[in-house]
Formats: sequence, structure tokens, C-alpha cells
Amino acid sequence: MSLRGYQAELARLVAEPGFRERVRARGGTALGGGLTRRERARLLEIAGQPGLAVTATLIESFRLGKVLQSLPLTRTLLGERQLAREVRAFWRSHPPVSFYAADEVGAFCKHLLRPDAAPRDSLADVVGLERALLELRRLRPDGRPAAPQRIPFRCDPSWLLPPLLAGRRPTGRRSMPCLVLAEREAGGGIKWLVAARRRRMTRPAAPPTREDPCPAS
Amino acid sequence: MPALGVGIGYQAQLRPFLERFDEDWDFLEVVPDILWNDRGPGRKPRYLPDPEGAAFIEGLARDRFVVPHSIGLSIGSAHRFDREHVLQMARWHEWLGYPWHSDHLSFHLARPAAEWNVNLTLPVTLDREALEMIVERVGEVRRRISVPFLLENNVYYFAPTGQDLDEPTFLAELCRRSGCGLLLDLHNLYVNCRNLGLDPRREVERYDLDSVVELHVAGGMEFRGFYLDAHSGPAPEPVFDLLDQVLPLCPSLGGVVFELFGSWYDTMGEDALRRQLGRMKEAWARHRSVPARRHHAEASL
Repeated sequence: MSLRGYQAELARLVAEPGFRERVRARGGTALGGGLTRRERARLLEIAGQPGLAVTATLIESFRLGKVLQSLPLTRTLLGERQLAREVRAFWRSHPPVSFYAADEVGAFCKHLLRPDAAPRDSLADVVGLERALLELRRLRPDGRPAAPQRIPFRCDPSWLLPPLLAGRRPTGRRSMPCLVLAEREAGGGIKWLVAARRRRMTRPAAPPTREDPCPAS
Repeated sequence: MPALGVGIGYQAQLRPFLERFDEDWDFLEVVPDILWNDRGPGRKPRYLPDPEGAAFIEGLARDRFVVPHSIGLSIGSAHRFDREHVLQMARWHEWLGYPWHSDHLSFHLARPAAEWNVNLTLPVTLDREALEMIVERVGEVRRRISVPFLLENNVYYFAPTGQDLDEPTFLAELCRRSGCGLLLDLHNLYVNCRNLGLDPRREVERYDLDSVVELHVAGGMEFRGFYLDAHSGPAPEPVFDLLDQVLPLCPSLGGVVFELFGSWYDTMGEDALRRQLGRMKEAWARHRSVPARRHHAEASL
């Protein structure tokens, strides 16, 4: 039990910034119970080593890499500073639980779209799109491709997405409630298109009005 | 044990390189965990294979050995031993017929509340208690999978104080008592020595080189006063010096592998990667026999 406790506290030291700060500030009183004297001494000594901060940064860079790779449009829309703020807020409430990008990034998307954050329309649209693309790439137990994803947009995709695909933030704002359809192609790539303006959704399937290759496909 | 020669670590970004320059490498090392999605303990099915990656590996495995180097076992985790992971590696053995397999002497899973995966290999405490636990677990792995199992010396940027054993002694005792082999990562050793101010050429002599089955070579970078095991480019000269030093001293050696993270491939470039592999092949040729290709080696397994 003692070694388990030591490893749990070490994991918190490297992956939970608040805990690391508490241990540095308050010493042994911040550590959990059930540790031997030697384990407590080790944890306190490690908490003071500069290599601990380096280790924590490496863990954060692995986690950040998954977000950057999986959410390129969200990254561009938010900008580096805002993304960094959101990522740090996410890490405070979400310890690392998986190697896999789909798990980590899916949880981060939920964080961005949390109701109390009141995400602006364009952010909700872009996160919704990239989350859907992630879902399409996710491996499935039955080995079959994921069903096509339907993403409600509040903004006009033809205004919002081309600049983001080019690495720029769109200017102004153009509303056009509509539905974007994303699906996995036979070759493994992903395509998405604007399937219909939302007010037409009760009619028979409308023809596509726009088609773009997904940059991450 | 076949002597396979010079290997390269698989990354998806390296696929064109692997196909175009297939004479530059003799065998392929694969982190199996990047070719499946692990849905977590108890899920059925737990491991979902990436069909595209698996097909690529299977194609190469027709005439080259593919050697798995897993990151998922977390053999040093005290709260549980992941037997499902061992069974998955056994399935991979049935699939690929690998001559040995390996993982890390470390842990990345811990349970502060729910189970965490810290995404990085943390150093196990080199105490008797951890040694007993890992010896037993290696025994389970070896009973389940018939080919040699290796553990890799870890890289670390902090170290617990007052440990019962130092790393060379811990690993030597682990190998002797459990029957596992050693994957000696020369870059990890170099990184630890450089950050601690030790001489790697002296330190490497303290390891039980009779147990070494595989060597790793990689490059790194400076960061905040530390040198990191970043797998970000060419290996530094002292790592090649270590390679020349140990190649003639490892009687059980099966291969030496160059590791590069795929995201650094464009930065490093094709020519520099070819030069690394070429230098490793020259070193191998100076000290070892002709590498075995799959169809020849299998006859002697």
C-alpha cells in the first residue's frame, strides 16, 4: 500500500500543478497519509528538484501536442494566448488519463463548450466540426467506419472556414444557421460539406452547396 | 537469438522513408501501443487495432523482423499489474512471430483517485520492494510469451534519494533473478549522465553487458539547463562513442535501433537520417557479424 501511495503522490507532483505548488509551499502537510518516512522525505526532496518542473513541462507538452495536432482550426480561431489559458484551465480540472489523443481531445472539446463558458458561435461551430472529425477517425470495436456526422453551424461556413484553413482568423461575423455533414471516405480520408441551411431541414435532402477537403484527412 | 543488425523505430511519418530506403535498415522496431487504441482495462474488446498501420507493418514483416517495444505495460505500477496488456503482446507474438520484445523499467499509471496515465515514463524506486514486485511480474510475462523479454533503462530528470540500489545493480539483479534481458538505451544513459555530471563511458561499464539484447541510439535537445531525451535528431557524438565501446562487449546482442519521433522527421531530413543509420551499420560491421534476414534467421531460432 505504501508504494502505491508514493506513486500516486509522485504522479500528482508531476501532473497536478496546484498540488506541486502546495507541496512546495506547505511541505509534508500537503502530502497524503500512509507514506513511510523515507517516501515522504523523497517526495519533498523531489518537489524541490528543478528536474520536476522539466518533467511536468514534458507531460504538458505531450498533452498540448495532442490538442494542437487534432484541433488546428480551433487553435487558429482562439489564438495562442487564449488557447494556452483554456488548456491550463482544462489541465487544472482534468488530470491525464490516457495516451490517446481521441480521449484527451474529446474531453478538451467538452471543456471548451461547457455552458458556463458561453462559447461564441464561431467557436462552438469549429469545435463541433473538429470533434466530429475526431469521432470519424476514432477506431471502433466493430471495425466499421463511424456514421456520418451532422454538425449544426450558426455561422456561415463559407465565411468561417476558408480563412481558418489558411491559418487566419475570420473578420467580422456572418450568421447562417446550417448543417455540415462530415463522413469518412473509402480511402480513409474525411470530407465535409454544407448539407443544408437549417431552415430547409424538413425538406428532402438538399444538394451540397460547398465541399472542402479536411486539412487533417 | 538472431543478430538482426541495425533497426529503426517505426513512426507513421517514416513510412515513405522505410519503403524507399529499405537497404538502410535491417529490422523494424514498433511501439505497438501506437498501432492500437487501448480502451482501458475490462473493456471488450479492449484493444482496437489501427487497420492501416497494421497492414503496413504486416507487409514489412514478410521479409524483415518486426520487434515490439511497448510503452503500455507500466511494469513498475504498484497498484495493479496489467495482465491484459501481456495477453495482447502474446497475440502480437502469434501475429508477427517476433524474436524478442521489450518495455520500460518505469511506471506511468498511478491511482491518486481514479487511475491516471501521466503520459511519461516515471522512474521506479530502486528499492528491494520494487525489485521483488518486478521480478515476479517479469516471470509472468516470460511464462506467457516464450521469447526473451527486455526492460529498458529509464531516462529521468529527477531521482528519489536514498535508494537501496543504484540503477546498474538493480538491473543486473533484475536480469539475474527474473531472466529478463536488458535494452540498454545509450541515449538515456548519456542524458542521465550529462544531467548529473557523470562520465557515461565509465558509467556504461557498470551495467551487466552480458544481459544486453538490444541497444538504442537517439538524439536530444537542451531545455532549461537540462539535456532531454527528445528523439529529435541525430545522436550526439558521445552516444556513438558509447556504441563503439559496448558493441564488442555485449555477447547476447540482437540489434541496435535508432529512435526518432515522427514529428521531427522533416526537421532532421532524409539525408541526415540515412547518415545516422549508415554510421550505425558501419559500427555494427566493425564489431558484429552479418545481420540476419528473416528467412535465414528463422531457420536457426
